[in-house]
Amino acid sequence: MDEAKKRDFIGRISRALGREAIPDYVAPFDMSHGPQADMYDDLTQDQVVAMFKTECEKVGTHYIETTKDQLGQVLLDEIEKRGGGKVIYPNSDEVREYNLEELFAKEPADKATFIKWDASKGRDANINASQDAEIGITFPVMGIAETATVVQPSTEESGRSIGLLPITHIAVLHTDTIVPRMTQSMAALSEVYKEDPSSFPTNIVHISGPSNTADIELVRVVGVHGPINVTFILVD
Amino acid sequence: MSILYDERPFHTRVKDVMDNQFKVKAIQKAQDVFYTKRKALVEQVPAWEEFRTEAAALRDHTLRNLDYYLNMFAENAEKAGAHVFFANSDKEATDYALEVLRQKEAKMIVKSKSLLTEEISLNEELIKAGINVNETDLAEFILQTDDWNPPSHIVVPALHLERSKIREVFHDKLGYEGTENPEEMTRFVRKFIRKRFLTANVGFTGCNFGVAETGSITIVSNEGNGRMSSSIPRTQIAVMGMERLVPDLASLDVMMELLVRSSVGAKISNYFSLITGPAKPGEADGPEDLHIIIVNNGRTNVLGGEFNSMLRCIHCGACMNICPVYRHITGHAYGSIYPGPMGAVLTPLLVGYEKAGALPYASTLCGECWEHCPVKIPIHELLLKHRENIAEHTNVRPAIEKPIFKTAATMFANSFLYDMGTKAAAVGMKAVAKDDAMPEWMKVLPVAGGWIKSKDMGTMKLHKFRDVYAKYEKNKKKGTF
Ligand code: SF4
Repeated sequence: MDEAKKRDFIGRISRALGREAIPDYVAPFDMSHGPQADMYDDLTQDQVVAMFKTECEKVGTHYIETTKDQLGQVLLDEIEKRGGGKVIYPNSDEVREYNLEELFAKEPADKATFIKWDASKGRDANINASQDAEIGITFPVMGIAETATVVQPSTEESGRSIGLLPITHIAVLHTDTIVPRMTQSMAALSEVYKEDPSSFPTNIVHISGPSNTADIELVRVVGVHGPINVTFILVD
Repeated sequence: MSILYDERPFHTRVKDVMDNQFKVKAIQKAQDVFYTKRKALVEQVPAWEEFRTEAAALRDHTLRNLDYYLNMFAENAEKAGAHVFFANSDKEATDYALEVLRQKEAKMIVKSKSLLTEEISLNEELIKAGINVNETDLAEFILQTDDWNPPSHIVVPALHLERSKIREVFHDKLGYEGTENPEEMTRFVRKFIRKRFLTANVGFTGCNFGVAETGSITIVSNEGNGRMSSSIPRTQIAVMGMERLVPDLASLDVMMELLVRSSVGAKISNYFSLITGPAKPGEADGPEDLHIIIVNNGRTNVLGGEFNSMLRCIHCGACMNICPVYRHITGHAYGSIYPGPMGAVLTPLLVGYEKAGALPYASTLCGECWEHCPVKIPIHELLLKHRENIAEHTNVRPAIEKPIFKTAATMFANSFLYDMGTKAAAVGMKAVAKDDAMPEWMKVLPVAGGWIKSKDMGTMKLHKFRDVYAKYEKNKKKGTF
């Protein structure tokens, strides 16, 4: 950063605000009395999950409920339902936890073939693999019930392209991570940041359904630049 | 595009619009659709008014301490590895962008939607420098392909083009052979632009809110082009207005509650990206370099002054989705990339009364914009201030007209002091008009003159828009429209 430029730029702002310098301290804006502070306070986790599902239904996002034991099979069924083909998946803990690679290996190649995101292979290899894939699987870290949103960070193990370039995106969400509103999800992200700013994910995308547009005569068309199909698998 | 893309007299622009009824009907349909959807959603939020109050206070708090928060933002963005550049003017901003492109030896860029990049004429400068520019938002792509046809709405900018026209443009310019079905045309564009996403050297994006606490930028999008531009190219350049900050992540919750509902009548956009620095070493996609250009370009003239509250604006478009004047003259009559009520306030602030002095008159001062504004900007009062300023301090109007404008301004002012409600304005107008006939002084008001010609309004009746809307609906059913 050009420090002189910055001083000049911010100095103009200070002067417009009627002062000579940036104040040393500004009392933070008090959000504790805002309407968001206690919304949905009385809901149980089951009710929060129910809200997530109702919202999915309202906006037409496809979801499937399952348990940890069934996840692998449910995933394979959904891949088949979405037409199979090349599937890209992250190199993440969840994949190992659910022994997904074992399952993937057993799947006949004419139904689906599986490619693992592997950052060590470099940029082009991973982006191209995602571009070639028909389906991308990710494991978002949180869900937001009010808007049926999943919160997806990108990491070395799970890149931005997986849930973006393929035509179908399957997101596997644990129901115990679903919070009522962005109030709670942002509070959680803020905690993560404060704990260690340097490990904060560089890209966190909130996804609430398939890509869409109404740019031509306001006719809603699903699938512009992002995935055309989205499935949320909710793991209890 | 620069701020003003059509500098012909206001009357001429209005007349042009009136001659294109498809355009007018398209805007009216958009207003009706967005209005209905927004209304239904807002009714489901019992605390909507509290949210507006909180958001307005939050914006004011940020603006009052903008030096402090900008400094914090820049420090944290740098800590996260981003390059921050402060641009006092449009030229400084585009020069910096060009320098980055030169260093990267970039030949092709992709760009997601950003009004600010229009304001600073980024596309023109890039094209001049021989860069292959690709707008990727579907509407912007259509407008670019149609030889940079100007936008008519800030949320759905290509609404004035009917599908047959879009098909024709795609056919002539891109060799498209399909039908005029929107889905088929969208799929065509998906394929066409996907290739460019994969090969572009640099992705340009806007920034809805910068977060001071973390140095993050955020991008709200439905199509996914914001995600693409910030994920695939090796370099990302984000351009942010200096006022578009929030103090912390918690504030995003409040802003997002209001932004998307107000904008298109949806609870949330499909995508909302929070980007903090470039990709970390070891990550296999995302930008290796992230540049954030923070732009002033005249905003410090507004900050802390009588128009300060205009800087609260979050560009949702709700004010134009409700405005009875915009309904009849559409975005193109404003001749500015910032149209509608917000544009009528903002444009003269950025380019001066000499060039945009007619715009503050493009309003009935009914106050619906203020009532629908998620951050409670008293737009109608600011328009009135403009009128007073024009009458008192400028030579924009011939001297003889000054007293006329002054009377008009005071008339509106008094009625607003008497009662902030919009009916009061109507009463004020009636007092001048006596019988429903058009008073002489109103004929010199640019809008009144143009608007009167739009026959479906008849003589100017200053109903609240709700009434106008209800009447419109009724008449529509009767088949009068
Ligand atoms: S002035 Fe208010 S309603 Fe209009 S675009 Fe800005 S924030 Fe939205």
